[in-house]
Amino acid sequence: MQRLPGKLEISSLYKRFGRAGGDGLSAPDVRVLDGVSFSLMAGESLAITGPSGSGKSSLLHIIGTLEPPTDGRVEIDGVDPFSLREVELARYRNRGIGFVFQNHQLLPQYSVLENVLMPVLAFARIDTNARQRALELLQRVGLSARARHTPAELSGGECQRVAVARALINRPRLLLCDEPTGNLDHSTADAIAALLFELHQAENNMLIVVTHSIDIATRCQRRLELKDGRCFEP
Amino acid sequence: MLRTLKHYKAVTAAVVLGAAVATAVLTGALVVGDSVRGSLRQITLERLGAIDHALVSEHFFRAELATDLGLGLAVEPAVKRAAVVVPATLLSGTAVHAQARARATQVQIVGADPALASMLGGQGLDFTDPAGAVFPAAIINRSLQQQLGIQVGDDFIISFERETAVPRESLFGRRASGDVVQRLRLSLRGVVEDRGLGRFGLRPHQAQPLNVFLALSDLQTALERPGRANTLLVAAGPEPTLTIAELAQALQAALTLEDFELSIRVSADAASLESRRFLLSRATAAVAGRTAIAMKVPHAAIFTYMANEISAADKAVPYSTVTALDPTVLNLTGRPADAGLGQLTLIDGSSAPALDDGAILVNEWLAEDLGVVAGDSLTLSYYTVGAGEELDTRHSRFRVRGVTAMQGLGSDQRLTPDYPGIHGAVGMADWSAPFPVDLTRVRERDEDYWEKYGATPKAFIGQAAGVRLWGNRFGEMTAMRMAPAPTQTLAATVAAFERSLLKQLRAPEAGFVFQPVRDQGLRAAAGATDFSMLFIGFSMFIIAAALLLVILLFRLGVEQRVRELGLLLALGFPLRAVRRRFLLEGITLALVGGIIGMAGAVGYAWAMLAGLRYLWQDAVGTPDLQLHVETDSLAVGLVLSVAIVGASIAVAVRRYARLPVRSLLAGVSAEFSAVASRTHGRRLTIIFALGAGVALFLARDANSSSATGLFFVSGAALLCCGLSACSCWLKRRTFTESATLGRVGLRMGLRNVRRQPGRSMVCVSLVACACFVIVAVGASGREFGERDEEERSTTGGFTLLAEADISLFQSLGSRAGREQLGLSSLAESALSQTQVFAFRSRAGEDASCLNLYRPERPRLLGVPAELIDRGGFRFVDVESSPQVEAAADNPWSLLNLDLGRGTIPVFGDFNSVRWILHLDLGDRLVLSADTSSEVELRLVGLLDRSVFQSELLMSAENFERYFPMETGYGFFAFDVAPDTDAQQLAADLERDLEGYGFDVMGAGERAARFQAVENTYLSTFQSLGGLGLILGTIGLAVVSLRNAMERKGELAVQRAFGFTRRRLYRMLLTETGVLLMVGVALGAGCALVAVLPHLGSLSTVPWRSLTATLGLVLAVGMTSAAVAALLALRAPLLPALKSA
Repeated sequence: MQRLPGKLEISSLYKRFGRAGGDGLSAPDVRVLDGVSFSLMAGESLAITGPSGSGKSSLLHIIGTLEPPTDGRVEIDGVDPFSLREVELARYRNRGIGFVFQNHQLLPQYSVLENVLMPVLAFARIDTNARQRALELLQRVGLSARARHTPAELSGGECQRVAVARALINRPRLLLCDEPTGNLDHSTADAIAALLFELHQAENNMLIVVTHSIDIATRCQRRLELKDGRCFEP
Repeated sequence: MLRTLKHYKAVTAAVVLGAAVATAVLTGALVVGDSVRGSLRQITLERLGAIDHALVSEHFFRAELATDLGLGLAVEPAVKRAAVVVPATLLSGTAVHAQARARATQVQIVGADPALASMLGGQGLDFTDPAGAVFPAAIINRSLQQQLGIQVGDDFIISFERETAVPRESLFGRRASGDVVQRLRLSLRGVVEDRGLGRFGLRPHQAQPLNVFLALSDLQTALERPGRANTLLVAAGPEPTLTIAELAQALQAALTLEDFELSIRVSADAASLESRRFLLSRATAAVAGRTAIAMKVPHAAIFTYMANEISAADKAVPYSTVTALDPTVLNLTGRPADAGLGQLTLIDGSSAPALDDGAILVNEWLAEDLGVVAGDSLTLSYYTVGAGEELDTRHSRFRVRGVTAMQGLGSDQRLTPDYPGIHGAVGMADWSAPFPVDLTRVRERDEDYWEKYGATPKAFIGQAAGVRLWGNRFGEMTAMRMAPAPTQTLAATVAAFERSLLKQLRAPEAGFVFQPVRDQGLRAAAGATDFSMLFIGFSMFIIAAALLLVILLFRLGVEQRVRELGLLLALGFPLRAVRRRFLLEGITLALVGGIIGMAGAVGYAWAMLAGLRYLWQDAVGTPDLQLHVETDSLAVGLVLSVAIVGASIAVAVRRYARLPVRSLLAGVSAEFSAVASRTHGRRLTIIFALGAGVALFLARDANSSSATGLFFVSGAALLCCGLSACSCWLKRRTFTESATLGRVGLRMGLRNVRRQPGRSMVCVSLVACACFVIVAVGASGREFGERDEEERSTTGGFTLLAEADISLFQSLGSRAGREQLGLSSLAESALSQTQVFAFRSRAGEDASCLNLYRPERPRLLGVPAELIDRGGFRFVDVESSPQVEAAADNPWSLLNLDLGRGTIPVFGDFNSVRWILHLDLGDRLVLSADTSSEVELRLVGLLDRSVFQSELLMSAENFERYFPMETGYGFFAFDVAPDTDAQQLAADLERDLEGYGFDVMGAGERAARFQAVENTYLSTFQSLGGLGLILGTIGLAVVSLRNAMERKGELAVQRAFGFTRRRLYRMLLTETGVLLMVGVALGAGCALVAVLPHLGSLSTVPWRSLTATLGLVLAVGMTSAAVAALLALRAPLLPALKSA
């Protein structure tokens, strides 16, 4: 499938959370993101690093349109997803963005193949192409023999490989990974990282990985470090 | 533990609530049983007041017998008990408002002694006539007042059977309407409430009696039986209890010959033992004979009868008496003159010879009148009473053996008893005979004879010949003539004979039987139906639903704490200790729930009783059910409930404690760690399917007896098969991707219900079981339909059925009978095209489901031979008998089985026999009969849902043999021609036979009344099944919410991948919908398949109401699921995602 060249444009992104004080009185807002801006082109990969609480996951969620920014703008291929209505936003997310979570988040009642196909169902029916694509992805993550197994029958690394395949099923322009190897041992984490970058190159999408792993960060073409809500390119 | 329970307060509260519901329902059912029994007991005590024993006789006796008996009880050495004995007259009849003509049948007319009121609670019975009163005063109870719409001061007319000692079905019995029905106009003096006196009645039935009280003396006057009563009521006072044996002993001592309706007519040289009934019964005659022999009293049987005509050649003498006696017995002592029996001598002075069967002696007057001499032949013409109470004229030829002189016995008027209407008449023209007399045939010569000799017999035949010609079921002698015993005067002989005879006559055989009415009533109050078990059965699905809910909630609670469970085990706590800890928590919750449930039990019982009083009154027929709470039942209910709930919880704990510690620590619930065994499930499915198939095959030709069992077997097997298959499907682990996930809502929903197969199965089982009950019960409810009009059906093909308060002695099936009854031309015209079957009837207790009391002496009907030949109705089962080959074609012929003396074959309705009398085919029931102290009824056939649910049926022949004193016909079945207006006929008959209390009812209406009870029970069952379904739906909602909350993270992931809330909402709804639909489809489908063999066709299924009920189930279930889905999807996405 011919993919349009993608571009992600983040401009002056702010995210603040209001909070209540321990005495019940209002306390100053917590500033999680403080004017973050960057852009990313198709085929590029970006690692977002930083200490815990620096706003990495919040940034990833905003990019993934899971929550809106307090201020600033997110544009993917010139479209501001937060200007879309709920159904359109869902469709936009479904078609344009793939997620890989720290915990694989596979649905236990479905088989491996069905888990991979699951995002297709949000707006379409499963046809031969979708099945073919899912099987291909499973082959590429090395799990074609386990297509009919349930997640309970897989190891943690295998589950995460299924999660990667699931994230790619709709050929998203943007692949967002939140600590994809955080729960895995070193060798499994290496394998998953290798797989991620291999598929990223093959799919020619934009890859953003939130990670504490120096190894993954160094594999990315670019790296962004968040500190106190601000970003730096080291 | 308390801290834990507090921490998980939501689950704690839910489990306590579930346990409370289970306890409330289970214990409540026991309280319902207590309440029904308590209410029946209360009704019994109220209707009897202080009365312990009662004697209701077929005939009248001295009212002073009450005083004599009271004295006897006080002085009888073996008894010496103070007891209050009150005489009364109890009659059944009809009451009609004198102006408005409002009518009430089956009215109890009570000729009351003032003491009766104090026996029944002290309320006064003041019958004092106000000045200027024309009619006797009467007091009625509120129910009758409401039925008649009468006010104090108004007049009303009661009609009841005129008293007669002479059996109406004998020649001298009076059967004309005017002789049978007596009307009495009364002035309403007061109304008593339906309590105490107003509730008075001796027959155990919960229905409110309709009572008329009037002064005993007024009723005696109306009945022309001054100083007589037919009832004795005994209040035995405080402990120790006066036994029936003691009472019988004192009664035997207090009875006089007069009470037995016997008298000894003494003349100068002989005495005659006679009966007011005209004939001495066989039993009395036998006892009298034995007594006379024992006392060496010379005696002879005398049987005098009325001949309509004695003719020879062309001459005839009308209306003459003829006596059957045995001259050789008269002469047996060899000193006939001394014997004093009287000597029958011929005109030549010789003693009368022995008379063989065809020989006759004529007196001088007759010989002269007919011109006959010894050796001539003559013909006796006389009436006999035929099977239909019609008079048949019979003729018998005799050869004249001699001519008797008009002296001694030959001119003794005492040979003829005092014929009612004839005795004392100045001339024959003044006769008021109960049979037709053609006075035009009476000649002057006949009047002269009457004037000179009165009713002196004109001819004598042998005793055997008399018995053969005139003997009937009431007896075969009119008197036993006695002479003084050797060396005794006649007076001394009579006195000694009377004393001895009174000792020999058995009071029970004359109908003097005291019934321990209080004990019987209290025993019967235990009820024909055990309402405790009935309501436990009815509430079974609520109990099951509550228990499943408890299990479900408790399991959900344990699931929340699997990590805690794992941690405790990992820390080295022994498995048993961990299990015990959880179990202790569970039992504590069950106990708390149980104690709360106690209050709920009383509330549940109250609600059920309210339902029985108002909503389901057809089932109990009384609004007088009150709440009675027995602490024993509460205790039993609490212990049972806690045990059941505790056991359910133990099972849930055990299941989790078996899981590996690693899984528990990881928070893995049982569902996904357990490896499902589908092979086992498949085997079970096949076994259940085979079982269901066999049961359904057998059910095709099953009768009602086995049909219920087969229905439950096939239904349960089908349901288990379906649930087992469903379980296999839910546990399926191989996925066929081509078919999966095609349509998000449906397919994902289908897949998701497999996520927690155990929970899903609980929901499906709850809904399926409840739907099974609702549909099976709904489909089984029957209404009277066209097919019930067929001959082999509920009504036996009869259109109308009727009951009369006063028996009819004329045949409604014959023109003559109808004319005698004075039916209108309309009724006459309709009846001429109608086949009428008249049944003998003996009053007794209602054996049908309309009576809550357990009957001990059910009503009996004597089935006419024509109906036995006709057949009809359906049978559940009949006894196979080689004696009756035709039984296969016509089971009614079994009623003619000869089972030996004292045993009578009877039919009963299956439902009444099985559920009310608690008997079965071949069982025996012992009753007291007229001819002997006891008779055994053996059930040889069980009718299927017939109109004869209130009674037992025997052949009229057996009825007449064993209950000869029950005369006339009290029950009728009409096979009305199709073009006849049955409703009009019913109205005409009720109007024309108003005095008889003739109550006509459509056979279908009667069937429907019985059916209504069954339908009401079904409706109760259905309603409570519906409550169970509501609990099932609550369970479903809990599961939906729990599933959705557990999957918040999963749902958030799906939203992250682009699923909209709406789509996920639809998916969640589909999941619940699938469980609901599978449950409903399984329950309803299995129920319909199981009932199909019993219904014959599904066309009778009330589809509309069933669809509406199931629709409601689906709507409620889906609404609860919708709320659960909304709650789950309302959660913000990111926190949910983070929690995933």
